[in-house]
Amino acid sequence: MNRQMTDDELDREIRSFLGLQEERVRPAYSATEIAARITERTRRAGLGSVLALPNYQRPLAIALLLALLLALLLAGAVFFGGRQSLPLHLTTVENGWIVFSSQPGGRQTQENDFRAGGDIYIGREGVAPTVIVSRGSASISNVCPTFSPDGSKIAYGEAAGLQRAVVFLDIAGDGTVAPSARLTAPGSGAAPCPRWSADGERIAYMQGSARVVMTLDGSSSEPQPGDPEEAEFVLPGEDAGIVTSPSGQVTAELTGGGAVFAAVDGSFQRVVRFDDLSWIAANGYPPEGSYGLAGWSPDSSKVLLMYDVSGRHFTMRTLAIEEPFDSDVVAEFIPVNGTRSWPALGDVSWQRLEVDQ
Amino acid sequence: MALVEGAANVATEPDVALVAFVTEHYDRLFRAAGLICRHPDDAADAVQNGLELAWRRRSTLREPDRTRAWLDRIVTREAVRMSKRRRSWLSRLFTPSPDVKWIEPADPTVSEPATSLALRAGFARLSAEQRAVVVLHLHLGYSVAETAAIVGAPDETVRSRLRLARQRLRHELEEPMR
Repeated sequence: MNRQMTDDELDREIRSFLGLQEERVRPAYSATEIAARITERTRRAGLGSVLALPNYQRPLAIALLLALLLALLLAGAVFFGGRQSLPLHLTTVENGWIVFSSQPGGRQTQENDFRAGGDIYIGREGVAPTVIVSRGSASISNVCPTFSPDGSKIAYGEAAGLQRAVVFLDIAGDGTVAPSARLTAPGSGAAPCPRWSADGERIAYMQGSARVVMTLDGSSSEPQPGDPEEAEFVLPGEDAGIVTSPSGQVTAELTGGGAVFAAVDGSFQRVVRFDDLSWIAANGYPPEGSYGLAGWSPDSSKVLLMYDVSGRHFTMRTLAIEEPFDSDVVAEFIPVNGTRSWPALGDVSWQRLEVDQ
Repeated sequence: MALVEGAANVATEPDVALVAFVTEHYDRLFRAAGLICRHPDDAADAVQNGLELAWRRRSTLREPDRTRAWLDRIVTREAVRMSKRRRSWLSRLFTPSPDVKWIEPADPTVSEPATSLALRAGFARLSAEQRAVVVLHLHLGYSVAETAAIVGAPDETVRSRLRLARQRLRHELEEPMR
């Protein structure tokens, strides 16, 4: 719009918009059903009341019931089973491959040197990273690689000239990848920074200030529960702030020359001073040299630290949250695409593997 | 899934007076809560909780002609609370992980009127408290003082939230999409 709207004009636009939005809101239950739910909750306090709980309370109630059931099963197994193994099928979370871009994505222009482009690497603890998506002749931005929730695919954003796309790769167990699809992203500008829905059926990215949600066949979709919210696209840059573990139980925060790990329930707080750690001194890192916290491992046992090691290269290491705070190299001396353009939280994704016991 | 359909399957005859009470107010409250929460499940929960609370406390309402504002206050506060609540890892735990199948090339047609798209983006970026005062004051027609009483904040706070919300929405409207 070319001229500034008056307040009255703005209010009219807002009222009109809200009126239209209101028309689109359709209740899932009838008034009679809601009355029945209220009656049920008022009259009953037994297990059946789970059915009448609001949606947000159901998972907790179901979890409590399952925990009770599990406890009964365990007690029964111990009592009747003797040395027999427990008839339970357990799944544990393990840490898989790590993908990262050498270019930060989804942030403000001044923090990102688009001219230099960016590569995407894959590696893991004990396996040196290799480039899987190249910037070409320094002209292609490849940003925000992110594993699907089931770990079977990687999505990332690409910008080459005026063309933008979200690209999908299939990943095999040995870390090899193969392109499987490319969704054209309308518009021009910075590469889209895709994020997966919780169920892995849709991806979302920001187009200007609007969130675009697409199903994996490339058609647009109305936002649904579990889709990434706008707030999740506001990447913090190098100063990640407080980052919560995938389990939701521990937070991590970088401080000057150290890190703090704290239980969400307040049961512990561990303060790590980097100048106390032998691997810091052994590798010649200055204690204050870590510039970013790039996320958590899927099993919530360690975090990823980013180190500026030359002014133009970064090194990424794990840091265990339990004493003695062990560390492994994930990537060493990776060139960044500009001296003010450092990847951090949001530019690294760690594959979650579910392993049957 | 049985749990989702639980409401319809509950074999309980609701009180006739309760049905009348819910029927009279449900639709209007759901629409307002939907605008504040921006999610139908959260809105449904907010309205159910609000109506249940109101039904239990109906004897405390001394002026029956104030029922509407009283309900708006209860449900608005519940909607703000629901809206601020993030989906927990526990609820995600119960979301089944589907098989990712073959992906076809994109259909890049994403269309919506620019004004509506801009306002939708701007409205989504407002805080729950800001959305609540915009809905109450600009959409439902409550005065600033009435809005303040409903959300439980001073008049100045409501004016401030309205001003910030207008700034954000004006910015979205006047800033061309990149």
